[in-house]
Amino acid sequence: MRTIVLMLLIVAPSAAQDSPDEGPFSTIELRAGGSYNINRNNIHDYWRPGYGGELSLATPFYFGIAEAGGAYHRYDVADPSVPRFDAILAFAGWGIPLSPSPYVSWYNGFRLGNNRMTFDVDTFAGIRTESEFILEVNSTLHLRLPQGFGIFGSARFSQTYTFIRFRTIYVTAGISYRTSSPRWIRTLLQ
Amino acid sequence: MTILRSFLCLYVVVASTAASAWDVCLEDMYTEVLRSEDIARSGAVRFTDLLALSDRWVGFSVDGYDWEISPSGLGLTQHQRFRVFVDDKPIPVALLGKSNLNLLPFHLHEVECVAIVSGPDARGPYFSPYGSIRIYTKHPEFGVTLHGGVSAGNEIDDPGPFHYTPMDSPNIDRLGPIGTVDISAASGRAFARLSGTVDEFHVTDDQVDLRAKQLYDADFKPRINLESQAFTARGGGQSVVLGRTTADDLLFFPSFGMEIPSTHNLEFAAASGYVEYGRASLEYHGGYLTHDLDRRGNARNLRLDWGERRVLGGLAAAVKEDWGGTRVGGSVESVGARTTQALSDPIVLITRLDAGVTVNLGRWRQAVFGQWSQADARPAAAGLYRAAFDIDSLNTLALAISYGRHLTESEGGLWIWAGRGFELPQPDSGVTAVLPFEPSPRMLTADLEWRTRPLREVSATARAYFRWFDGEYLPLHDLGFDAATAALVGNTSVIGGISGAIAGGGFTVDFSPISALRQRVTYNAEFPVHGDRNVTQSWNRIPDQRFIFTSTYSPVERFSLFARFDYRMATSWASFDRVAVESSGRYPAEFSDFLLLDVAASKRLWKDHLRATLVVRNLMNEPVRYHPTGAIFNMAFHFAVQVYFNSESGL
Repeated sequence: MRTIVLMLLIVAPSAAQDSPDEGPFSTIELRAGGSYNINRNNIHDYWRPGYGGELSLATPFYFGIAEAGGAYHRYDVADPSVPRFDAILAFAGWGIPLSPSPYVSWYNGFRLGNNRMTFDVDTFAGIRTESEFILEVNSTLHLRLPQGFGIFGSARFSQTYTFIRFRTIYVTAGISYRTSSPRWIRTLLQ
Repeated sequence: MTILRSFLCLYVVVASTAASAWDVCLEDMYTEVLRSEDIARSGAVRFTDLLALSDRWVGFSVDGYDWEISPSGLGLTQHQRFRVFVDDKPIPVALLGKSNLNLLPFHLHEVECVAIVSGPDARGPYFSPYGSIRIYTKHPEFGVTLHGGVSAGNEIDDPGPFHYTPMDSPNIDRLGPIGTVDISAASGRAFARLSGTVDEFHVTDDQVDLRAKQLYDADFKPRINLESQAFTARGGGQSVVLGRTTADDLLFFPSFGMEIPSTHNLEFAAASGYVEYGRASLEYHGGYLTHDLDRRGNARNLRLDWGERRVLGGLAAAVKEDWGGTRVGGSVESVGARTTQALSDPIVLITRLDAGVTVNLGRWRQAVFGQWSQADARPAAAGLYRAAFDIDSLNTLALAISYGRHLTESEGGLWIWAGRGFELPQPDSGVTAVLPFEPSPRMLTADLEWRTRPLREVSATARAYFRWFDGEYLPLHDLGFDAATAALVGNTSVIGGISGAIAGGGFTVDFSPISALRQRVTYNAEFPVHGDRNVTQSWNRIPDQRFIFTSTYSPVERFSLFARFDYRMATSWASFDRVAVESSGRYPAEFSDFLLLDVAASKRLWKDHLRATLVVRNLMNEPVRYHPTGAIFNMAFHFAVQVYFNSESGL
């Protein structure tokens, strides 16, 4: 609950200040990046979150920007008593960009999704996976380059709602490409 | 004025199977209407999810799948006597006193609207003194339509990777997956539709899991698997529904604090229709329905050995006049037990005769309804009077009074059949499963409503109601906790001659400051005002006050945000007082008040061929529990996608 309030506090002020000037779904942006975990807590007593990656699509929504995508993170063992696992996050998100110049934008938003964890051994009889609700707050600085390309860096706080909350902070750097939405995509999304 | 009058239309008596869904889905006195689009925006996926959208009915559940319902003071909260109608055909889903709406072999995408009636309902084909849920299916678009959907979700607080560490915790429920599909062919006046549903429900909450482990292998994760198919057709005033459902159910019996694993098979065929001769019409309805409880594999070899077969049919003649109308009808229903046990009387034959008159005189609209019925040799009778008076163009006062002696034979009650010799498998309990008398409940109800529209954007309803009952019966439990098996043990006996009275009231305000924003505030209060300790304890099981706020924001046509706050006062379960002490609070007897917040975002895509909905239930993450032996429900989310293609609208 505190995370949700924090999320709203981050998003709400920026929502009042800026919104994209394009119409809904007028552009589509593909973002790809590599991620690295930077925090330390009880999860790190047992696992070493390694490098990961994320891929997402973003488009202007009726208000703000909507995004959807996925992320992959590998968790190698730090304690041999536990199994290794892979986490695949599928998410939908929304946020508000601040654009002080045509070349820079600062985006703050949140993501809701599912964190599917696949273990090397069974979690319960015959089952090796575990899915849980995940909430993320992310902040992204975006530099626009010619021809629709861009580079971005972001930090995101993730909370997976396991009984003992599974909290991670990742930093991500990557490239983006934005183009006008093809008609079929606009038809699909509108 | 027209809208206000339509809210209060009182064609209770002459309304019939001849009416279209649009006619019957008008909000009426003590009737809530949930429409297709509102249901979709809320993210509801099962019929029992509709209970969370009702401002007046209260449900409580052990596993979150099978809900007991208390419909606005109509009878003791232990009885499930409300009726279920689909396109005005009675579909008795109750068996042995348990009524699980999810057994209906339809899915919510097929539904045009649902009317939840919180008072005596005479709409037909027969009288429902204890309220009803009326489900009306959609008339599909012209052409051939394919419609499908899938949804799945999860309740939070799984152990996740901590399962492998000393910080392990119990596994928590998964929601679904639920898959639905239907294909239909429709012209402007007729249609036929085939539909199917598969539904999984995982009950892994520790409270249920521990008991279920006594019945299954230690590694078994209790789950409910449901499959259903239905066929619906309408045209030329005639309507047919066929359906079958198979549910591998845990079948929890709150009366005994235990699950009896069963595979519940429900099959039915029902038809209704009318023929018009000028202002007169001849209406008919008929149906055949079977329930069967097959043994579901379990370690203790429990088997319920129970089923029912119902055959029913009826005729009615109605005449519409400028001043109102009249209706006279009758029906016959046969309820037969299907069991290998020897019963004193395995078949009940119920006959009903009813008549009604509707009179519209200027600003007065009145309806009188009477019913005489008989189960075997036992007679009963009931009457209902309803009136509405338009004080002026913005204010209407409505009144409903009913009184009757009611039959309990058709409700499928456990104790009715126990009184005829049916014995439950009770390896641990000393249950007195005998009804030592013939129940003959009487009930008087009075409802008063004032509906007003002080502003164009605001409408409001204030209501008060009173229910008095006599000749009722109740199961009384003396329950304890066996620490060795984590099971409930005890004695249950049935007492009769219960009488009491309930008073309730509240208000509902709808306001829409802008066209994109619809909001509703409801307050309800309900208290026992007469009766002994048993009556008071019965009503302590449900919250005596509720405050609900619902908001739907649709800034554009194809996107909506939905939020619903539901605050409920504390409840208590006196029969679990000893269990609470002996189990050291594992099964508590009292629950504090709580606030539920559900939110949903829904987006239609690709010219309405797709719809995606994300729902978060219990966003405040309150550890909600509805029943002492029940699961604890935390925040949960689910995601649903629907696809829709129609041959005429193209891609």
